Amino acid sequence: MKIYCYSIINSNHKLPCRIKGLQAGAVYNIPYRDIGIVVSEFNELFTPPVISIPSISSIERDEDCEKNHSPALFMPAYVLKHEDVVEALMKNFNILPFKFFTVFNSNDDILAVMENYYNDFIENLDRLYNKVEFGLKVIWPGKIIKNHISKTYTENNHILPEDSPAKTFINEKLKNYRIEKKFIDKANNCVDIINNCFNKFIIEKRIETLKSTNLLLNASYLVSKEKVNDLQKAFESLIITNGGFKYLFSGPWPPYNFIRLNKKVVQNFTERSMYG
Amino acid sequence: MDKILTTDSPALFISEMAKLNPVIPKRITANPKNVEHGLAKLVLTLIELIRKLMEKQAMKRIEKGSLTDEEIERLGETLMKLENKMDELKQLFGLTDRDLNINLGPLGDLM
Repeated sequence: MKIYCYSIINSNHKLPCRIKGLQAGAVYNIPYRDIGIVVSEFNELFTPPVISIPSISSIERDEDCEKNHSPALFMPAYVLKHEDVVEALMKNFNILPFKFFTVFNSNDDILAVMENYYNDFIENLDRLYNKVEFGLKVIWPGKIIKNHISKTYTENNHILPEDSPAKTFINEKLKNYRIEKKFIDKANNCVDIINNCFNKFIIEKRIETLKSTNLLLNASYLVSKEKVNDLQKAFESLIITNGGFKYLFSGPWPPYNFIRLNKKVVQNFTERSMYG
Repeated sequence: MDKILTTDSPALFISEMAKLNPVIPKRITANPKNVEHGLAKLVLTLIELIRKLMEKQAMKRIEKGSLTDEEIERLGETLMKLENKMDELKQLFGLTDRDLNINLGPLGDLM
């Protein structure tokens, strides 16, 4: 039997309520000094396949999935169950959630990790106390914008006389470079406008701009629980004033993206981890 | 605390996020039948990365005006020959631009 890990919490007491984890295992807290690690037992005979997360539409909240012998069908249910447990913990504790499918061989391995990384865990629990994360993804008509920039680029912009194949080649590359630069500048301006709506309420942010041509922004915002309503209102105001884009706004989540560890945690100790 | 999930286009986000799956899988399957192809892909990806970086650096320098006419001419010829050679090699190994378009994390896609 292995041990499946959900989260570090700021408590060394028993959990206040019963929670069922993966494979309907009882979730419990292993105390270490003044913190704990929340786990459940896990059947080692089950080997998860290396597959990507299915599309959201195909995920089923069906615990009867476990009765089916096809491992691939377990995974969506396991992901949701992992998230259910983490969210239940978040209601009562300050948490540092583990990546999905973090599994330890034994209690000794768990205690070794707790001992090695205790200071890191404490520092993060303190820093992230009473804070939650919100996610924002923004889609814009990137291809259309790029086409427009390309159409408005005229021959007069050529910097070099085209008196050789090499110069013609360079002009073409330069044209692409300038179009791309203008496109990126436009994206950055839009992202600045979006971020300015939230800056008053957020503590930290993690931003990815133009992860793809149409995915303008993929952001995570760290905010204190007291500012959640303000952030929500700021978002509502944003979609009114910038309605041309598509938004996906979600939260509150545990602060997954704001945990900072000095050492690479867990990789040396876990049996396997789903993503890397 | 209730979850807030606001979007009017869930399908659009699903399709956009699905495009971001990495070209190279996180776990590489070492298959004796395709090891040559895999090695060629790896090498050409690295060469393409360097080539694209060189091109970008060249454009920056031309924009700044720090190259003479002769230097631009030589640069153009070299980059042109490099691009042509890469096209030949891609064709030889049956690789497309998409095959070599690795995700560089915070830097985005190679191409």
